[in-house]
Amino acid sequence: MYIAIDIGGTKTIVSGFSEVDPSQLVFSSMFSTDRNFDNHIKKIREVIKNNLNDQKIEGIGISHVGILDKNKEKCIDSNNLAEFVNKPIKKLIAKDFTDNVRLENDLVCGALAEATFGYGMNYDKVLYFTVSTGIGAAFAYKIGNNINVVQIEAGFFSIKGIGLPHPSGQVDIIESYVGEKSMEERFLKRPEEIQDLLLWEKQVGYLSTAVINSLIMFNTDVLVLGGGMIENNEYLREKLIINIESGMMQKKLPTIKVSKMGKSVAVNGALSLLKK
Amino acid sequence: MYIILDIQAQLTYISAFESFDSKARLRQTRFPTIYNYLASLVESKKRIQNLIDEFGEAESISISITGSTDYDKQIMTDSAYLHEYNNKDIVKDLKHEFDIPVIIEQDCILDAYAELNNLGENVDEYGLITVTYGIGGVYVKKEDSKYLVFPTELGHTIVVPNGLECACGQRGCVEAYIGGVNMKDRFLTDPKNIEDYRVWEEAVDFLAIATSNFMMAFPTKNIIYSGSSISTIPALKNGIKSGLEKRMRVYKQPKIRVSSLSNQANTLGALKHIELYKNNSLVRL
Ligand SMILES: [Zn+2]
Repeated sequence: MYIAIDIGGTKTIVSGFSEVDPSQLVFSSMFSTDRNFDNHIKKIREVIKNNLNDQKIEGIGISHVGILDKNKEKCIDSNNLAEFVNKPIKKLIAKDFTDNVRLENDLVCGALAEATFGYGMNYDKVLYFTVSTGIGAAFAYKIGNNINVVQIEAGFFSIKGIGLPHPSGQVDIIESYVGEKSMEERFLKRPEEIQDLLLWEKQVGYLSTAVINSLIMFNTDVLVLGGGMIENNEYLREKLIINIESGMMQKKLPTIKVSKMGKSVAVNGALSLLKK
Repeated sequence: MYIILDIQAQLTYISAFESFDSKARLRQTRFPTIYNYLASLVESKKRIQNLIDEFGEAESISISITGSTDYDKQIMTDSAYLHEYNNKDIVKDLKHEFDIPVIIEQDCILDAYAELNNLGENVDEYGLITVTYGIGGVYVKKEDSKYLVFPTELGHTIVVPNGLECACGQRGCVEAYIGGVNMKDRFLTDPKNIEDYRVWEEAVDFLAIATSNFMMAFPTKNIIYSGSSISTIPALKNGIKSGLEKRMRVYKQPKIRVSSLSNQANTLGALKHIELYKNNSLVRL
């Protein structure tokens, strides 16, 4: 069995597949991410054991939120999971299970999922752009049988604005305007509680700037939009696509798709890490 | 012998090199760029033939052009300054005349190749940002025996939503604010003659924003600036380091250097292009 794990800031998904193919799902379990690292690892290992049914583990792929070390052994920085930082997570999860274990950042996994199993399957270059708690993007390009990914801090693109600060110390970045946290601080409401259409029109304007800048910087065949805010907010999704189509003149537009993977995108990306 | 044809917005340079060594230049001639494509082709062919008559057979021709290229099709597709060359098959026309391999590439990408033998020689990766009539950005990463090249069209990244109109049709591109041609349009004088420090303060900030945005995609340790504006305007050259420190906080500040290759960067890059092409070591994304 192939095990794919998505460790997110609030939720964790552990899934098992009979092949490296999302349609061959054997089991899937979703639970809250325990802030206590040791407890959480124990829980993940229990879920795997309880669902194995005496089958051999062929490999484990892990998608992890935050910044990973160069060797992809552990997380070295995360706003959400402070206790997970610098812990040998890869080794601890896979202990006695298998030596075939791979860890990747969640955004990279998103791009890999789309490039391997999703809308990017038949293309060489895929740009994955996601809007959820944060804004991020990743560019996947295929050389021979390998897929390489460049991670893009699209939420950190700067504009000449009104000088809005961001906790990172940068000012006037896209996330100072549209990030979930920044919006809450500015308007004292959760984004989904804000009904003001004029405001949303502006927010989409900032988002489309970030998407267009990613497209200008990377020659892609297909753009896949994903993440909770895009998949669940119809106005934002449709207006964003209109803005991209009308705002990007410098280059030919790539094919634009909205991800269909929903919450499974990072798990699918983690699974793709096990592809030979 | 290798022939380099460097078509810039104002001048066209034609050079002959004995080898891939930048010092092995046999001759360079230049003439004001002819905006009519066919007239320019006639003049270029004549001058290339003169070089062949003088120095013997040429192995190949490498073209540098100021405009976006479709690299797979080997055609310049879009230039704001050489409209009449858009979609003209100069590669085919020269191949037909001289019966040798001909390759073409956009000038700012070639500037990045030129730095492989210059400021990029002893590093594994670098970003090259050109600041001249337009703004360009290229990221180069050495991997095993290959060079991964990411051309970015940095000048057309949007830094002011709904801002000034750019030659590309978009609004708010950084090039609309600090590209040499656009600055000339805004202030009706050559940027070199502008003394108002506020103009340069603003220009430094725009360049810092563009550089920071470049780094959000390519968190490089080395930024090399090249092009006539950055090398001839002290306010830009001296201000960019502190400008970037103000704008970019999430990564370590890169080492910033300004290229000294000036108007020879395209030619040297085009020479390097032949070498990389011949060795099959380019991965252009
Ligand atoms: Zn533009």
